[in-house]
Amino acid sequence: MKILFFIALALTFTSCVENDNPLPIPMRDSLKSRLLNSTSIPKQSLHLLEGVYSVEAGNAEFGNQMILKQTGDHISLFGANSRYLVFETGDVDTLAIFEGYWRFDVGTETGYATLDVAKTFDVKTIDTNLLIKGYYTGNGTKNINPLRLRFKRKLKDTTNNFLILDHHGGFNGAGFPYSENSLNSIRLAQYVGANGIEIDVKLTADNIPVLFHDDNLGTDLVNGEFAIGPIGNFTLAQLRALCTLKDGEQIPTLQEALDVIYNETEYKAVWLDIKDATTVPYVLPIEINFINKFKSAGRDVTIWAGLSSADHITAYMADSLHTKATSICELLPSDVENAGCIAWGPRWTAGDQVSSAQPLRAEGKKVIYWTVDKPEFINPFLNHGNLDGLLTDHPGTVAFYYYIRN
Amino acid sequence: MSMPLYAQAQNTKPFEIWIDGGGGYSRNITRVVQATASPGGDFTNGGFTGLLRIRGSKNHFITIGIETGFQRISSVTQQNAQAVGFGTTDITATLSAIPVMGVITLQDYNVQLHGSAGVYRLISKASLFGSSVSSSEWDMAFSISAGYEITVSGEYKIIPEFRWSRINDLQKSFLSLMIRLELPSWEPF
Repeated sequence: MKILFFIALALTFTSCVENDNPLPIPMRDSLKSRLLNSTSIPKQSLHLLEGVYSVEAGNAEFGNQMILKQTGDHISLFGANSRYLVFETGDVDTLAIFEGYWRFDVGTETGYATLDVAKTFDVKTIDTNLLIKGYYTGNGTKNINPLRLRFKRKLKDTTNNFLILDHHGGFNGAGFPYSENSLNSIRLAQYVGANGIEIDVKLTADNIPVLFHDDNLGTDLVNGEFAIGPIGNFTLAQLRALCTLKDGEQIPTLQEALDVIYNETEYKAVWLDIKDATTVPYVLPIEINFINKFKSAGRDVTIWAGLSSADHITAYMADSLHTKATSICELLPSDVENAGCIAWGPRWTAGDQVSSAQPLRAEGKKVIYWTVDKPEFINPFLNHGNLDGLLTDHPGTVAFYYYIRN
Repeated sequence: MSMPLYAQAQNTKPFEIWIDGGGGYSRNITRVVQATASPGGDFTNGGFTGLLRIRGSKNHFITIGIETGFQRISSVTQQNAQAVGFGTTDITATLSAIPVMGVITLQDYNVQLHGSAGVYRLISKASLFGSSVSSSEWDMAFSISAGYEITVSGEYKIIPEFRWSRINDLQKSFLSLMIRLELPSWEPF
């Protein structure tokens, strides 16, 4: 029996789609958005579409198979060639409409894309009759190319428990529209394959933890003629007056970043890469506050204070708050045990370290390797490693190779 | 038959040291994306530049040495500048540099060509929110310049010099016009 599933659910959630934080969809300004006057599609309905799809048209660009994943009211498609598509969604008449863009994990090429799916299909026996079709434009052109995907099978892992953490607060390479470690990059990373985020934490002169990776402010990361030298030379107020990130955003505080993660994302894990051991005491109160907020809200979100050196461990253990905090250690398994960490974050270049990971995982600790970007390295970890997730600059690529496995 | 100029110089000159210094104006020719976090204010994209050079050689054709000095890169005075979360503030700020570079100079007749490479100590000073902040960093830099030597009295020479320089990580290029005074050469040995 055909069930008007989308219609039934959509009627209970009808509201116009609002683009509070629109995706940077190429050329949408010059095209009439297909989502104008659409109503929102319930997340539960979008979730039903998750699966492995055969690419019947467009496979020269996107490969023969793609993974469809739902995050909030967005859907994303990930291909083998590191190309992905991200869509906003809306409901118009008899169609569910997806509108967004494609791009690579690396590179600046991008284009517009849109897809439709009929709102009526049998949700109990969703099968290869399910067809999603539309088109995409070439890089910087309005030339239209057909894109057609046919449902192939459900994902083997529907738990979303395998952690794909986006590096540098959602930095995704050249041409990515937002600065690394910015609030917008944190918001967007969840749609490009990540279900966790790693953010870099430095301390200002007035001891406020902020998101920043490098020791020095520099023209690669900020705009501001007089903002040079160590970020720790400046108070937060001085930073806010003297410079912005490259995309025009303010340098966010850790508090602001965790607020965004709490209010606007579905991340399951947050790795706080504390760049200097002296910052640890200023991070723990904020971390613990959000651990409690997530817990109170009934959300299964883990926050790790990153301990990357012996000095970090010393500072962590010396702070009485460490008993209420949770942490990930990048050093030896024995350090993980001694510091009471709940996760181990070894560098990937040391190999998959199965024998070391196994006893830690048997104790319920997570094992997350960093920073794994290329398919030739991702696959061995997925196939032979004993792990709970990967930290990566290319979450879409990891998502494809993880979810394509049968 | 005449000898090449370089060979003549090499054969006849003792080791000499030249000291010169001067000043002028330097202008940033790279686009400034934004001076501070908010638009507006009185922004000056250049300023005084000063240079001190010490060179030595057994001839006057090719000399090598070091140079240092001071360069005002930019300055701003801005009222009611926005600082998200902190309201507004008046800002007075300067960005300056102290070069420490090696220099090689070619001189033929009265024309000098200089090439320099080394580091700049970049220094930012700002007053805002009722307090001051100073911050600095090292950056790689290089420059090329040309000057014309004019004898003014005895061995004292005045040298107008035109200079292009680049500070690497700061991603800024400059054009400078300076007047240098070159003292009589000194023979230490």
